[in-house]
Amino acid sequence: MKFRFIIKLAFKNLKRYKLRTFLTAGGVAISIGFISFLTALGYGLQKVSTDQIANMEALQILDVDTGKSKIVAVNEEAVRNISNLFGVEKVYPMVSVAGDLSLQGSKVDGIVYGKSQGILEIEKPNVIVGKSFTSDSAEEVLVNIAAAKKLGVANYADLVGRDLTLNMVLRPELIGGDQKVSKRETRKYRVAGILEEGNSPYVYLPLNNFKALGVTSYSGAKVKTTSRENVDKIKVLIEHMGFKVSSIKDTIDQVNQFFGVFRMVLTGFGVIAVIVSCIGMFNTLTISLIEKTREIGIMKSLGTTKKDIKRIFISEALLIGMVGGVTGIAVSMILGEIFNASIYALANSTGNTPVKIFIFPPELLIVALVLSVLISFLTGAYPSRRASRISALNALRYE
Amino acid sequence: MTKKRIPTVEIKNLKKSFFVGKEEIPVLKGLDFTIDFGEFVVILGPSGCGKSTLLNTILGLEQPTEGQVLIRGKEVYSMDEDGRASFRRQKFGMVYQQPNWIRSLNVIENVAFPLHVSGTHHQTAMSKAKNILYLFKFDKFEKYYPMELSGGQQQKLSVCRALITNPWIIMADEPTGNLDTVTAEDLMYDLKVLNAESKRTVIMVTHNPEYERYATKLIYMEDGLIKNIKQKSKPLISSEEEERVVDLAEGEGIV
Repeated sequence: MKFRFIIKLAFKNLKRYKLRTFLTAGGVAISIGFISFLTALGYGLQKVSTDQIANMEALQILDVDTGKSKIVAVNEEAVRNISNLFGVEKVYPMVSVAGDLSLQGSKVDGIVYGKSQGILEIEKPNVIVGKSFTSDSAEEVLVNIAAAKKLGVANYADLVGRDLTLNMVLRPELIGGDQKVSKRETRKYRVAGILEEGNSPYVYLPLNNFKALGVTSYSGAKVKTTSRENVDKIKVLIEHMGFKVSSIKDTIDQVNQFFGVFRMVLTGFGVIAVIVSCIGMFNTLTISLIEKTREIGIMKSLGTTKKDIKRIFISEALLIGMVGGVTGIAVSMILGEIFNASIYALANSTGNTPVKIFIFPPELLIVALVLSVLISFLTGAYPSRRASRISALNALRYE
Repeated sequence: MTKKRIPTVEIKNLKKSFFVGKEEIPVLKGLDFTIDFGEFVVILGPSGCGKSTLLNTILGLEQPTEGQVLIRGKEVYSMDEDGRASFRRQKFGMVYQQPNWIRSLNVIENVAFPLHVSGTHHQTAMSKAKNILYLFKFDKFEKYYPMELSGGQQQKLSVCRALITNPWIIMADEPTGNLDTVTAEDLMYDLKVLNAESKRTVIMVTHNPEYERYATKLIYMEDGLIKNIKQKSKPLISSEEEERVVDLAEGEGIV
């Protein structure tokens, strides 16, 4: 039999029992639709949360510090060693010290971060007034809003251009040598800009200023890798040098892991629906087999081979499965987009950032389609095998 | 010199038993006969004498317990099930007591079905079916569903379906069993014309002795044995004519 004729025959057989076909395909549609809808929700929520954690570049960054160790130090030598590792693009050392900031009599406790321009390019802090450092040695500071407020500056734009006195506590491990006691340094710097972030007061100081104060080691460093794939490998290598290493990738991996489980749970519900629809489909196909016993007899006596009989039944199963599957996927996508659109409208009217909580990646659609084909083969296998094995004579005698 | 002609159907020591539980019930108890090309064979006998079993055995649907069935020298049961199925499709046309239709197909599609089975091109199959329907004056019913036609019409239609593959042999199992006398005569006339004009071998099973008059050969069966074979007349067909019909490709127009 020609393939086209088999499909045509299967189609006509299904058309004869419209209601039954409709209900069975509907069952498949609901289950496949359910599974794709829930999985899309899982994907969407995961994307929303990981997007908020980091941009792609941040995933390539490792944070290195000494942890609790007193033996290792993030000094020039360590920076050089890390820079020489394969897959490391650049190492940005940085310093953070406690201290107080004072401006015309008002004083506030805060943290002074030593940052290079390179690191600011990665971190991209939001400078709302003024501008960033002009060089790594400029005697300038960036002050965050929290600090400005605590210093009693109502309009923080006024702060730009004024001199800020920093009183810093340099811990012994930073200044190196045999020093066992902290050193205090007080210097004046010009305010270059205002930072938006942060709830507690802090300032950014160009890194080389610390060198001028006698700092030889750093508090830590940010390591930029050439690609995301290298992050885990490099992390291990740096840890072997005795440093503590953490990365945003770790956090994201955890979030991904959580949503992986979450998605699996959602998919699990879908699988239950699929099993139910499988039973429905199997039932329909078996009943259709029993009804068609005589027809199978006549087909066989007219010379139809077992293989062709099998194909006719498998085709019927495939048609139901495919029609159900495609309908289910389409309906779930339409529903998902309706949800996305209403969330978008809601977010816009309330002034929030709109998010897409349903995402249908192509692999999801492919898997759903493959699943519906799989269901068809699974449920069609037994009835079609039985049909092909029916003896023509018995079938013709069947009433 | 005429070469020796191969019998169209040759039955050798055919035995068939069925098992009911452990009990063996012999239905055919050793049959031997031949059917020549172009004959109209009527197999007569009371119900339960094994007529239908014999027919199904010739068709390749019922594996015999013992013995051989040869169709123009070809041993039917040397082929596997699918092989027999395609052999049956090419060489035999079947007419049953009840017409058996594929209910989701309409009249013309049902008639064309045997051609579709062999993978004939759709257009070719449909135009052949159209020709046959025209010859049997069914052309105006082609879009009907077979179940919408009367019993007599359905039987005639199953003759159409039997003829579509241009078979050598028409097998008819009580074809008039469900018909009234007038319609039955009409159908018998069609079969006779097919036999006489188109040189098809017809093998018909019936328990109605009235149809003896159509036969060229009569086979009386009783209790699984042949009681009597009566050669009423000998069809006069030259071996050239026989070759011509036999060599017609499957599905070539004949009627």
